[in-house]
Amino acid sequence: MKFLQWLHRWTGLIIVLQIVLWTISGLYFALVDHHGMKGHQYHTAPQSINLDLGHAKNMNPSWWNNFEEVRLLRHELVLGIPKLEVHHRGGISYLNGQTGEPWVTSENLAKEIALSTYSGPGTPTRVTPISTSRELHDWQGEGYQVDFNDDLNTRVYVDSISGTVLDHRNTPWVVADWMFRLHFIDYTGGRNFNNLVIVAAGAVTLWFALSGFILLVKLLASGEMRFTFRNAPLWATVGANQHKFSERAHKTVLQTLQDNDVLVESGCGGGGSCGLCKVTVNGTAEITAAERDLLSQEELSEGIRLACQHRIGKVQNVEVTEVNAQKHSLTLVSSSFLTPMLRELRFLAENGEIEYSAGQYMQFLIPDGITAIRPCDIPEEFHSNWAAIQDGNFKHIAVRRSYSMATKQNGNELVFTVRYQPQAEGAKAPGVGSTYLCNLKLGEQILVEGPYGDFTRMAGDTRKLFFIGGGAGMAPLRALIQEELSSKVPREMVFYYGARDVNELVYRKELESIAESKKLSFVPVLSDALTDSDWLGERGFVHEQALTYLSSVDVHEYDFYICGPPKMLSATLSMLANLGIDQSRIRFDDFGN
Amino acid sequence: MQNQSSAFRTWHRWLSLIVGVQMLIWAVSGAYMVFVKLPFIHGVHLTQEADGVLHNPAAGIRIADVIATYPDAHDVKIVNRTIHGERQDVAQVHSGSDKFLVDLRTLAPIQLAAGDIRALAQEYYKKGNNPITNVELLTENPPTELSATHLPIWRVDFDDFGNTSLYLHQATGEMTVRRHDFWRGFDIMWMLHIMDYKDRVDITTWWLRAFIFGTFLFAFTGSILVVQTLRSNRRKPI
Repeated sequence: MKFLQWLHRWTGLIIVLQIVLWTISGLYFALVDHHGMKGHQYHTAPQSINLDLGHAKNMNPSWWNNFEEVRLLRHELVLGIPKLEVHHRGGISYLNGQTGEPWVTSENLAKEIALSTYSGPGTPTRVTPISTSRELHDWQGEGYQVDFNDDLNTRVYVDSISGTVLDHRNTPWVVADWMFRLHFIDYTGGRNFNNLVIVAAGAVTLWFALSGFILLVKLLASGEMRFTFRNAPLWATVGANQHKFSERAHKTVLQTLQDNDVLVESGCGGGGSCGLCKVTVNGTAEITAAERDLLSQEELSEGIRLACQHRIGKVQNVEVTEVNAQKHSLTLVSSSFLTPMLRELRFLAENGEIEYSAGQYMQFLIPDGITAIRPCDIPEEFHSNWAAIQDGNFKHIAVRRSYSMATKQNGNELVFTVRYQPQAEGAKAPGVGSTYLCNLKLGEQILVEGPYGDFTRMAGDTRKLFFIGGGAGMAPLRALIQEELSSKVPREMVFYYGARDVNELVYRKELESIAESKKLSFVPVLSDALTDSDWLGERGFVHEQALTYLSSVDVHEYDFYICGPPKMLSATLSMLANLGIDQSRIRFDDFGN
Repeated sequence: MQNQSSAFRTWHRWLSLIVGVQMLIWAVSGAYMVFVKLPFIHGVHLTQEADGVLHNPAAGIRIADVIATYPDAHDVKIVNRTIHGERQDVAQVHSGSDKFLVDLRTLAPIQLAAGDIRALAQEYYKKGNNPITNVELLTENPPTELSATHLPIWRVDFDDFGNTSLYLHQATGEMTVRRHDFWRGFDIMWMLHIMDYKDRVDITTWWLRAFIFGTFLFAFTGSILVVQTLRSNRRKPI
C-alpha cells in the first residue's frame, strides 16, 4: 500500500505535464475531427480524363528501351499532356508522352496542377520553387509551393519530377500538426508514435495508472468510499469546549472537524500518510493499516487514532487537542553551558507573550547553511568532555526540531535546554538542530512554530504528581513543577531524575531549594558515579530507584509524567505497566532529549 | 500545516472511479499502440512485391490498342503478373471507377479465379510455406477488420502465428489489405482509446469529450495532492 502510494505519487509527478499535454491534444482531436486536421478542406480529386488514342500511337518503345529491368509502364494524362511513368531498376522515371523527354513541370503547369485538386474560393497568388519543406516531413526533391488567397491560407505542394500534387496544407493543418507533436511526443514532425521518448512516457504512465487503479480497488474494498445522505453526529471535545456537529455519515472525522473550523493538523489532506491528524477516540475504533504504520502501540492503546481514517458514522466522540500553533520569531538573549553537553538558551519573543502550558514544545525551523561543529565558548571545566570533538564546519539542509519549554509561561521569555548531539558513529555530521542552536549568537533570531504537545498536567485535586526524568528530559518536567507550584494549592510532587554523574545534574540547586520548602521530593539518581566519589545520593538506574520508592506507597494516588532518553523511557513505562498503573494516569514525552 | 485539503482528495477519489478507470484504459491501449511498431501492425513484414520484370517492355506500344478497345480508360499500366499459372505481361486498365486486367494478345478482359488468387497470395506472402486455409470472394457483409468500401475483394487466410489474412483486389489481384492478430489487437486498442465502440472511427463523441474534461479535473486535483504531500513535513523528525 505504501509502495503503491509512493509509486503513484512519483510517477505522477514525472508524467503529469505530459498527461496534461495528452489531454489538451486529445481534446483538440475530439473537437476538430479527422477532416479538420488533414488540410484537405479545399481538396478535391482531380477529374479523370479519358486517354487519347492519338497520343498513345505517338509513343515509341525506344523511349524506355534504355531502362533496365522495367517492371511497370504507366500512361496517364496530366492536364491533357500525356505522361509516361517507368518503374525500373534505377527507380521511377517520368517521361513526356509527346517527346519521350524527361517530364518537366513549369511554374505555370504547377499552378494548373495545383488548381486541378483545389475546390476552395481562392486563387493562386504565388508559385515558389522549393527543394524541401517543413510541412512535408519525408519529401525532398524538386517542387513548387502554390499559395492560395483563401481564408485558410491554403498552399498546395507540387512535385516537379512526377507532375503530381504532394499534398495540401493550411493553417488548421499547422495547428493539428502541433497537436500531433504534443500527443506523440515527436517534435520532428514525423508523427512517429513509436519513438523512444513516448515509449518511455508510456511505460511510466502505465505504472502510474496501474498503481492508481490498484489503490482505487483497495479503497473500494476498504469501504472508505461509501456515500450516504444520512446525517450522523460527532461530539468533539476541543480543549475545554464541547461541540456537537452533524454531517453526512460518510464524512471522516477529519473532514467534519475541518468543515466546522476546528483546527486539526494535517500534512497530506486525509490520505493517511502523514500521521498528523491525531485525535483521541472515546469508545472503540478499529485500527487501520495506516494507523498501525504511523502511531505507536502506546498511542493506539490510549485510543489515539488518525481523524482521516474514521467515518463519523462509526466514531462519534472524539477529543481534539486545541491547536493554537503559530510561527513566532525569537531573539536569543542568553546562551550558556549548564553541563558539559547541555546548554540553556533564553529567547525573547518578538511579538510579546506566547501562551502555552508547561510540558509543551516549540518546533524550531532550522535554516540550511554551514555551521561550526564546536561552539567557541566551551567553559574551561568542560574541555575534557569536548576533547574528542574536532574543529570544523559542516553543511546542512533546513530541518525542523522540537524542544520543550524549560519553564512555565513567563512573559515573553522562552527558555530551552538543548543537548548537543555529537557526531554518532557512522553518521556524516553531528546533530543539525542542536549544533545550530548551540552556535547561535546573542541577538540572532530564529523562527519557531508552536506551541504543540499534550504533555501537560492532568486535573484532579487529590492526585499526587510523580515525575521521572533523565538527561534533557529535565526541561518539560521543570516547567510542569514550576506551573504546579504557581497554582493556588500545589499538590504533592515527587521527582526522580537520572543522570550519569554529578556534572550532569542540571538545575540541581534550584530543585533542591524547592525541595527544602517541602513541596517537592527531589531524588537525583546517578548511573555512572565513581564508587570513590563523595556522592551520597542514590545510584543506579532512575526507574529502578523510583520502583523502590513506589513499592512502599500507594501507587494509585499518583499521576505519572515521564520524559527522558528512549531507553530510560521504555524501561520506565514497562516498570509502571508491571505495577498495574492505569494507562490514562501516565503521560510521557519521548522528544524531550 | 494544511487545514483544508481533504476536499481535493475526496474529489480525486470520486473522479478516479469514473475518469480514472478510463485513464487506465487510455494508458494500456496507448502503451500497446506505442510499444508495438506501426509498420509491424500494418503487416509490412507479411508481404513482398510479386510483380516481375516485364518480359517484353516493347509491349508498351500495345497501350494504344488497349485504349482503342477501352475508350473510357484514363489510366493504363503494363505489368508482369502470374495469371492462369504463368507469368505474363498484361495491361491493368482504369476505366471510370473500374479496374481490371486485359490480355495483351487478345485484348480481352481477364477473369481471375480462386486458383489465380491462391497463387498470387502465395507470391505476396513472405512468411514461408504456411498453408492457405481459405480463399473466398467477399461481396457483402465485410468482417469488422475491413472497410466496406473495399468490397468486392478476395480474402486469403493463412494458418500461421498471427492468423494472417491477405485481401487481394477482386479483378486485378493486387495486394490491397493486410490483417493479422496484432493489427486486430491494435484495432481493439484504438476502439478503446477513442471510445467509439461501434464503428471505431468517430473521435468526436460527446462522452469522449466529457471524459477528457473530467481528466483535466482529475489531473488538477491529483497535482494539488502531490504538491501538498511532498511539501508537508513530518512533524517530529528524528
